[in-house]
Amino acid sequence: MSLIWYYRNRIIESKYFRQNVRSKPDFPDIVRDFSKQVYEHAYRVLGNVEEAEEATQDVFLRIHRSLHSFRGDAVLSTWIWKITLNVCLTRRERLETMRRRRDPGDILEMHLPGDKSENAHEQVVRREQAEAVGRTISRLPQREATVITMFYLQEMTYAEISEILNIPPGSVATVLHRGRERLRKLLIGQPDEESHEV
Amino acid sequence: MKCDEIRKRIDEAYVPKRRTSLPPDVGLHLRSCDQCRSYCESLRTVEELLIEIPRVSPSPVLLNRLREIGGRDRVASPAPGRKLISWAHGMYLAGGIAAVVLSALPASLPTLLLSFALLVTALTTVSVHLLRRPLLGR
Repeated sequence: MSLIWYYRNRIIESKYFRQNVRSKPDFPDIVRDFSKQVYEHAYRVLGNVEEAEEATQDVFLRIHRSLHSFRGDAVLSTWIWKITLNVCLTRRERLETMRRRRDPGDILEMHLPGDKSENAHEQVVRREQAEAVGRTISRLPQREATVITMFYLQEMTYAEISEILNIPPGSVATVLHRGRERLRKLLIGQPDEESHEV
Repeated sequence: MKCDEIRKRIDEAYVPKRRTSLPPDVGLHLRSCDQCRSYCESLRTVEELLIEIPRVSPSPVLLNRLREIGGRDRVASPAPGRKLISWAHGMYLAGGIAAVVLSALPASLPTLLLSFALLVTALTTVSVHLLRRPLLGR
């Protein structure tokens, strides 16, 4: 009986193994292809370099540990993104708790001009403003920060975001609009009526 | 109230990353209302700034650390706490030893058959162990 089990398991395993060899990429390739995206997302959502670096390492550790169990029934990038979002969510929740205990911090206020900058000085100002917008993303609620980062920085489509977050594309548009509006209010220093839930 | 409606319509007409063309009556209102014009401009500016956010890259130190994660396992021996032999393999091995013991006893047909069966399982154990691919009891 044990021999039958042995050969049965052996057949199943070899089949599974062949399948994975065909569909699974190498870990160094994943690091090469996804490290920038994962880091950028973590940085924008978490708002600081140390947290982003730790989150990125955490993501790749998890990828490395579970790569053998990746069945290939989802697109690799979707699988990696889901891991990234989970790691960032956990870290953000922890950061939010710490932030709530401390002083709410300075409110970033910015004059938002309507016209495009023309000269060099205005370009520098504009770049600083863009960087400030980038920093402010981490102050948005988790979902809005995630969608804004995915849409504007990772340049994903509504369909891609909806697949990764498992929400309808219409909801992606709604979250994006809500996030952008909240961002606008934060930047002009207008109080936000809605609560800042994570 | 009218301004609220206008802003709602601006939001509806707004398509991210595209140049938004507003309905004529909204445009007319914007010409006369500073607040709504300012709202529309700030919305556009936020959109432009979002597109212009400078991209960040992981530091070379971080990249090295990430590459090391992959390198660790290639040279690694079995992780601490991982069994070198599974319980099933252990049973096969015990069977093999029993076969040797039985073959030393006075020969009879049942003893020989039992010894043969146990010897086969023992050989299987050895081959599986050599392959270092534990299949059962993982």
